[in-house]
Amino acid sequence: MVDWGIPIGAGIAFGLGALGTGIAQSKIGSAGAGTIAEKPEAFGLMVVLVAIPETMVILGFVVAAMMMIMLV
Amino acid sequence: MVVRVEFDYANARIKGMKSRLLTPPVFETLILKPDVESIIAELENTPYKEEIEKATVQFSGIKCIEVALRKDFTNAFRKILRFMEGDPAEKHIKILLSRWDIQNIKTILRGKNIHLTSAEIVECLVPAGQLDDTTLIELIKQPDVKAVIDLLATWGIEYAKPLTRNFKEYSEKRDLSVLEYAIDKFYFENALDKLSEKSYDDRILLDMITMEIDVTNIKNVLTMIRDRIDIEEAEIFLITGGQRLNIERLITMIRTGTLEGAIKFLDTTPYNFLSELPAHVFRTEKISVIEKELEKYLIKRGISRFLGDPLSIAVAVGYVWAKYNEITNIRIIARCKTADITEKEIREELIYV
Amino acid sequence: MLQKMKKVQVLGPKKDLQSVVDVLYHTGTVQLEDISKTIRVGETLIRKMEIEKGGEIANILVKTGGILLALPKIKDDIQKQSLIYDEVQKKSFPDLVVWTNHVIEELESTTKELATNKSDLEFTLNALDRYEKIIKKILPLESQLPILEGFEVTVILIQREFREVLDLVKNALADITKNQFELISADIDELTIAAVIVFNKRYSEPVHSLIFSQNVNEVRLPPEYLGKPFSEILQLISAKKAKSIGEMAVIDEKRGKLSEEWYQELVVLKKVLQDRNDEASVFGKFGQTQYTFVIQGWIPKKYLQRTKEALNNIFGTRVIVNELDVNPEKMDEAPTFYDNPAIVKPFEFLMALVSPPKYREVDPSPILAIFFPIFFGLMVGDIAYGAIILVFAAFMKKKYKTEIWLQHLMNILILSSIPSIFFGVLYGEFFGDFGEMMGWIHPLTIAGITWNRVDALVPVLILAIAIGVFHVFLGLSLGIINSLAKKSKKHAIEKAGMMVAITGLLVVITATAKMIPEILVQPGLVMIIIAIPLIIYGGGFFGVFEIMSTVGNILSYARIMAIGMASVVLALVANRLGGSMEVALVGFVIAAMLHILNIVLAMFSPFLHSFRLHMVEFNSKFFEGGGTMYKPFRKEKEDETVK
Repeated sequence: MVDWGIPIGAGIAFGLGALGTGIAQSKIGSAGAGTIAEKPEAFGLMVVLVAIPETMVILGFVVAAMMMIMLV
Repeated sequence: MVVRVEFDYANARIKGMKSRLLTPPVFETLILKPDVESIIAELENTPYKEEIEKATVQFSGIKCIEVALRKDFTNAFRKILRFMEGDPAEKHIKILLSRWDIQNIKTILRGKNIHLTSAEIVECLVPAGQLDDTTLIELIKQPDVKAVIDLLATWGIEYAKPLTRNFKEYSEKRDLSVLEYAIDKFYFENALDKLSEKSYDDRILLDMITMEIDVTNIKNVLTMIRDRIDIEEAEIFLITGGQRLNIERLITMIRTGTLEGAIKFLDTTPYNFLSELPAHVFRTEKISVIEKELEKYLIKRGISRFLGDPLSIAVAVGYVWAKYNEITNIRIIARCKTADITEKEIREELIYV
Repeated sequence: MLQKMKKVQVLGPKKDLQSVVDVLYHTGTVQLEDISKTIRVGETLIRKMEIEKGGEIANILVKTGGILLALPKIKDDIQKQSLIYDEVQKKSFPDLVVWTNHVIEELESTTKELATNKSDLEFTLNALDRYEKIIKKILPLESQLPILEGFEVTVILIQREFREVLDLVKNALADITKNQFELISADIDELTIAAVIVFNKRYSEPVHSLIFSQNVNEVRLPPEYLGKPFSEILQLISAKKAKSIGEMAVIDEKRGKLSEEWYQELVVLKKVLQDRNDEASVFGKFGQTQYTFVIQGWIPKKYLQRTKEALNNIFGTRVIVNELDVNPEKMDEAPTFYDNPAIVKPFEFLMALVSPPKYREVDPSPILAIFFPIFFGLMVGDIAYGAIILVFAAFMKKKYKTEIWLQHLMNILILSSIPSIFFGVLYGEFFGDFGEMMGWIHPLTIAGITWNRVDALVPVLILAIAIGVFHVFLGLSLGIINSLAKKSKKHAIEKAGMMVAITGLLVVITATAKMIPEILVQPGLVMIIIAIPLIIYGGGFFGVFEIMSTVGNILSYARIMAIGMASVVLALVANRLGGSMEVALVGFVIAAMLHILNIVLAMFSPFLHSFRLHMVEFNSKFFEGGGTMYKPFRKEKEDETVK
């Protein structure tokens, strides 16, 4: 019998983080596209702003990876 | 979550557009210019560059500035409408813009009523709103008030409706305020009707519209006091749906019979700034000064929407008003230059926000 | 580091102004400042200088621009343009004005006429379209009526809600015309009913006044169509439309011809005038007293002597350069002028994408230049990938020599590929574990840990977090330096408190996890308790929440491990998938494709995240930004299209 608990938990940790990041980035991205259309010089700032929510999915990934490697 | 217009995108663009509005130092430079020609040259250094250059080919002087301003305003709102195509937000912007259409139609009717020349009427139009040049030119070509209304009907423009309905009364009384009131009322009722769903954005716009109703009512009340109109007759010239002033209060205002007395009743409302006007305004019954103050107030409130919810129609509302304010200010400066008005007086006329 | 800047005032007699400006322009070291921003009206004797000739240039510039816009754009003939350009450059200013005025004179009235005619025609066409629309709707009604000599046709529009008016009109018409009329009506759209009335001309006046008094509209047509049957009007309209379109074509042809003849010259003139206009607008920045001029601006300290000498050589003691004492707060207005070794230049570019530092701040670019490649290398960490990125960047750099931004980016990639190779050796990665499978290399073992990134997940994570702690502390230290430079003690104390709090927190966590002696928990707690009042003193109550966000910032460095890990796993997948294929060639292709994908990602993602760690986690600890770049008054590089 395989223990599905850990993989499922890891999946949730990663998946929800990814979802959250996706929602946040979609909003920031479209606002960013709007800003760049009017002020192309804001490009650098927008790249950074879009990258900000990525912390969520990365921490999710770290937790998932640690669960898979340390708990199995 | 309801899928709506992407306010994040649209509003980011509008904010970008707002950052290109002229700043007070630029207005100061314009004010210091000696004549209209040098104002045109200075506008060359602003975002009006392209439209000014295009306009100089055909026109010069004030006319050139007006044409450029109208084109620029049109470009701005077309752009905004493009972001919002097919969304309730489009409706909101259109309601906002029709305010200036109404103003222009009233100007044309007024001009026809007192038989001004076409050139004189054109000078009084505001370079804002949705009616395009073709419509305005063709309307101005018409020989009389009736013909203007008929042309509106012929071309299927909705404002023909209230005007047609009240034309008979106008032709009996020979009083243009009948038609002006009718078209105002039509605009407000139409707007209130379109906003009756009371969605979040509807309410943002309603706030603005109901304030405009108040302002229009105050103007009407004061005019009626000045013209000593009977209470019974006055009543029908009031528009329901105001934000702070209901009909009852407005009637009490009329009953006082004096401008000062009427304005006392505004003390508890946001419109109490009127009572700070110098006394001679009331004594000489200069309604135009009061109207200007009210207009300034509307513009200020309109632009202040910009600070509202960044993911709502508020940003666009604020922008349209700010743009209107900008073109109004440029027009004021340009006109004052032809009339030899001191720089200090021009500054007083302008509305900075 | 940033260059030291000095604020200077150049004073001299007015008659020398033009030549002084020329000297300054050639020396190209002063960033001019608008003097009207520093003097207030009535405060001093200095007045803003009026721009001589400025108005004239601007006026002809606007006109030239207008004419250019009124003509159709054609292809720029570079050769011809540069011939004209040379000729224009030889002209003195008055001659240039004469030339331009001549061109304007030549073209103005023609273009005006063409443009006016064209817009009139456009209005006519628009109006005709709209009239046509309504006539087409009514046409079917009219065709049902007989057309009789001596009879008049009138069309009225009635709003549907007033349908009953129709009967009223009918009855009244019957009375007026003694039943000699025809009326046909139909709904033409959701809101309107149209009615066509035919009656004897004799009754024209009473009929019209009847219509006038009702809630109905007469269809309005241009006067030339009055009294004609609609089918005929339609024909007339389409004839007129065709004629208008024809006229438009003629106008366009004329415009085209003018373009052929004048476009190149106009383009050049406009450009030259624009330059002159910019130059003239400089004078608006100067101040004046009755006999002297005042020029104010910023100058890098190291150029000060050179500039002074240049002025002294020509004007002697007539023109003086004053160094102004500027109080420290005002130094924030000084422009930012980098003073970094060449290797840092590309990172200055990266900083400028977001915001250049203010004058009194520590310049983050050198720090970026050290840590950015290290972070990038830690994430990519593959000998082969690093080498490929190096070759790619070098190639791109060579190929696109004129694209400055690309040059900068590629330089950054080159600098970053070296640590990538270095860390590749540490991790023992060559195309993922391909090198190890072939027995070429193995992960190094340092400090008792074999740095295989997949197996040593936790050590790599701890390393990443440790780097984070170090980096954030470095940022906080710079924050203290910046605060002290700005004499803002409070902020310095807040940053120091933050460092103490984070240290305490780390001690507590590691001690609880038994990584260090458990007895240290209490000292750690004491540190936090000491730090909190410091933070509240410096940053207010909400400063306390900053502790949590700083911890979040540190944890955010886990991305160094996570992105690296994702890259390794994709490389492993490529190798396994490739290896499991029965046909070796297919396996090779698959593996190669995945590796290429991974390299593309490796150039993008670690780049972005390394950048982000600096901009968000690191810079937020000390960086304010919003500086303006040093832009001396001198000739900009010439435009490529002209010359």
